[in-house]
Amino acid sequence: MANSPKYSDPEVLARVAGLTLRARRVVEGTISGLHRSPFHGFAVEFAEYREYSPGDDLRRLDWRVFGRTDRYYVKQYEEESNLRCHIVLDASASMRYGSGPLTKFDYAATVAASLATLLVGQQDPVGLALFDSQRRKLLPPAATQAQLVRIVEELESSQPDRQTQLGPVLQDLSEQVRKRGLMIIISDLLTDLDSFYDGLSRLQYRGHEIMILHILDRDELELPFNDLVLFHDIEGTEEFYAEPWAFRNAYKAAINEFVEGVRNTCGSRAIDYLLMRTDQPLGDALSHYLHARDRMQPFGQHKHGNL
Amino acid sequence: MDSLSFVNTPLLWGMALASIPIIIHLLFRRRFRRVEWAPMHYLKLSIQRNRRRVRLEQLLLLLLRTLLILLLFFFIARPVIHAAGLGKWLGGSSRTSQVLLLDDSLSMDYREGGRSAWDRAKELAVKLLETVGPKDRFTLVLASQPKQPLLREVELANPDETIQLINELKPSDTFAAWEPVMQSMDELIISGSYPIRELTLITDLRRSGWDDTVGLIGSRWTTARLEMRIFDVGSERTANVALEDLKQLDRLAMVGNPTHYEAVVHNASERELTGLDATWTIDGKPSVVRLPTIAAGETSRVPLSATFQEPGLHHVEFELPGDDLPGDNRRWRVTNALEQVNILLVDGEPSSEPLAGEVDFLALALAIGAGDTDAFRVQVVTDSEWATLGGGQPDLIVLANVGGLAREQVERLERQVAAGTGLMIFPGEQIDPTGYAQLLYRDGEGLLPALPETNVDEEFSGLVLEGGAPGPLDVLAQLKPAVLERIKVRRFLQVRGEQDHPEVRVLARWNNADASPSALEKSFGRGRVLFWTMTADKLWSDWPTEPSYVLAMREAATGIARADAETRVFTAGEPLKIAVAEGEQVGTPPPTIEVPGAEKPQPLRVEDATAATGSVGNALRGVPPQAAGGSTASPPSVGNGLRAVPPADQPASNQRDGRRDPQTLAYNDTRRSGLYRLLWNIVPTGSRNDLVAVDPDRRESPLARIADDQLRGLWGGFQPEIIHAVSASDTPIAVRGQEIWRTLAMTMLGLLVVESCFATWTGRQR
Repeated sequence: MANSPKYSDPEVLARVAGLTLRARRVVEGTISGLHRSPFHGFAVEFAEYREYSPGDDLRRLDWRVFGRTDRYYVKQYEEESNLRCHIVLDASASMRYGSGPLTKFDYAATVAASLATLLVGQQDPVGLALFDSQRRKLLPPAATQAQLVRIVEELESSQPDRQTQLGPVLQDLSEQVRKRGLMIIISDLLTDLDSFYDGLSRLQYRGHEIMILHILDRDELELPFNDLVLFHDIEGTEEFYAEPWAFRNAYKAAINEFVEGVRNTCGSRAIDYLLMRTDQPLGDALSHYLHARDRMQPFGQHKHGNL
Repeated sequence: MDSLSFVNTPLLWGMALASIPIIIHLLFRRRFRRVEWAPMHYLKLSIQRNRRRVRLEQLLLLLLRTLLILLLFFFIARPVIHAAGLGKWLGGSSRTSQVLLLDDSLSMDYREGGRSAWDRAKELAVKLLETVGPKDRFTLVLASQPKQPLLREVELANPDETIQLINELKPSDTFAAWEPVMQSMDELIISGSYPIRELTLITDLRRSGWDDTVGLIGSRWTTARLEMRIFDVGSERTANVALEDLKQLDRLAMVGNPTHYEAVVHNASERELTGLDATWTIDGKPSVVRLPTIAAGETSRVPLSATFQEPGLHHVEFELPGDDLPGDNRRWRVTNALEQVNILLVDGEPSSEPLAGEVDFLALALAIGAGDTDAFRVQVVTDSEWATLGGGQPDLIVLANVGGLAREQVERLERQVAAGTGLMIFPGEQIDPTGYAQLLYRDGEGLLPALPETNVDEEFSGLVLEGGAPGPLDVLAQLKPAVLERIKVRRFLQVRGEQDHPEVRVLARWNNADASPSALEKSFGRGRVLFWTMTADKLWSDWPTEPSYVLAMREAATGIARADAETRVFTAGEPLKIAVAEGEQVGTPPPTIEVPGAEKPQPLRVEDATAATGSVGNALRGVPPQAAGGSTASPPSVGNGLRAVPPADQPASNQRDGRRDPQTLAYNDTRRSGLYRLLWNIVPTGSRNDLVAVDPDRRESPLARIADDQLRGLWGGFQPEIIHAVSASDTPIAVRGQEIWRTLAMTMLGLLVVESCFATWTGRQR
């Protein structure tokens, strides 16, 4: 990071330094109490035998047991960490909005960096996908410090722009990432929801576990303006005058309906959903969430993440 | 706009400031905050759901604020509801009984800037006609004739005729007494065709004539569906010089002798009157009289005289120089110049001996004299002759020691005195005080001024005159006191109760220890009674032998004898009632009256005595009719044609003493002042005429105005609307009308509250 010519600007350097610092602080506070995943796979530690059933991989037959007992048994091993995580980060123009010191993108990037640091610290491979109207950048998962640096560099070099088209991006991602893993989607979800839900369905069909971190600004939730406002579409050219106090409650109801709709949809699909407001302390929010997730029972076969 | 005018019209330009809220609104839209917004979809969704409501609220708020500014300047411009338009505003399509009452009293002719209040009233009345709907019922009434509407409950299909009628109206010289006028309006309103009624009064709002008696009517009107508007067309000025009175000072006008008059002039202006000439007209011949200097606010009495060379009716007129109210500058008097005063002496104790009869000294005193020997025509009769004497009306009757009066005699005597005949009564030995008390005193209701008790024997000397108001014995005060002190009295009639009646006064008292009354006077109807407590002869005193007795009796006779000067004076608006001479019958052609200002003689109404007594009461006057040619009718015997008129409280009958009661000539429309000449024929042949003066009503001369609040306060709970109309000399009438600031202030206050609440409501979070 220090070699990046972009950070020769002292203000940028301070911002990046703060970002890294924030991420580390958050991660350090999060990893305590972490336990292993019960997910079974092809790792090194033996778990048990299971009688062969048609369709099982013949390579997993234990021939020595067959020789002794004349029965077909398959070896099962306990996988310690076979989690491959992709952080899918919304870098569209709508993420540029911020009423406080952090824009939604800053906040989301901080979350992404923090989680990446956390995952790399757990030796779990983590990748990054940046998208706007299409996938902009895809870093394949890796569990190295170099990967972490790459992720942070990618985040720092990205500028939110263009429209949000999350649905097609998720569909594209499901094609690209064949190996099932954890998909952490960080976005304001101000996109076409039907397409977005289709994308989620495709990812779930591929066996991915999905976690959605919904980032919204306080203004977007509460519409607190008391002046006449010219609203300009951040992702387009449309604009109009409005007196926010005249329809504030109506707006809040609409945005709340949107949030609750997403939350309910995610709940019905066994997708982890967390609404994060940019004015909330990030460390607290993330820590509370991860602790809560820790205490939760796994979702059957799909519940395999160890975050 | 006909319906509305403004006191401060230029301030209406301020209504342009009503655009301020719109400008502020537009400027406000230029001051905005630009926000790059992400969840546009949800924002648009919310705005779309609320756009119509928000726009409507904004529009309403803008409208309210604009209206507030409009109303503010409308308010400070002081709008006035125009008289002519108010009916259209309020009346709607409802059928209404509209009564228009025009004040045509004398003060309405007060001029300012060349136009009178009456001119303005007619102009306004014509304008008000425009507000009368085609199906409304319209009634037009003059205040001088409230019981005879000019138009009653008519539909104004063709208002031109009504406009012409109004334009031809002239003001009267009457007094507007509003209580009886409003009583008549009450009757008209009650009989209106439609339940919605409007009463419009156009007046000059002079204080005179208004009192709280209208409150009784107003209290009735509070529950009636009646709207009353009072239009003030009067001038604010009150300066006026009025001829308040023209008095004939001499009770009797004798041919060849000067008759004295007095004009009373009041200067109610703010400047001193000096060097002005008035006109004094005697029988149509004018002469100039220089008025004395009269300070502002002062009253002056101008002495006048006229000498008539012919007996009969004469008329005089006094006219002040012109001012803003010409109606009260002229007055008239009709004087009956007499050649002789007819005196009937009733001798209760006649004697064939010289100066031994009861009235011998009295007859001698009245008969002798220098210069005016023929002034008194004395007839002496005994009491028995007097009882059978019929007809005739002496100017003075003297009862001297007449006892044994019959009730019928007393009743006839009362009628005669009530009609103006003078009566002098002397006691005597034949008088029974108890009988006199029963017949003539009647507990104070009869002719006698005091209750006779007993004859008192007491010797003393002297007669003391009482002071006070002018009386028939005033001339005695010019004598030396010693002349009256040497009157020796031996006996007198003790009386009491003289102080119990206001119409009785003691003229002189005896110089004894008790100061017993010696002469008492009482007004009875239109006549006077002089009651002496001594005899007319020298039986009880030696006064008849004194020269002062002659003077006293002659002055007393002149002072109480019939004087008809007052009977020929009427006030404008007062009905004329003239009794025909007793025994005469009105024949054909029908009687007529010449009325001032009328082109043709008007018909007179003939009423019999019953109707006249019942309807006229005290207004009934008995005056001697004149034979054609202007000479005084002098009956050969007692009386000269004067008729007896019964007092108001006495039952009248058509037949008295076997004779038919006199007829009465009546005429009601005396609204204009001047000389009224009555002409009639008698059966079987012969013509008669009479002349009376109708004066303008002096109560109209004070021009003080009544304030709005004071006027409203008179009506009790009823609240008439008072609208002030102000005129200019050369422009159409402008109406100051009723200011509606209260209504506007309340509306503004209401709008402010509504605006505040509405702005708070629209500014809340939604």
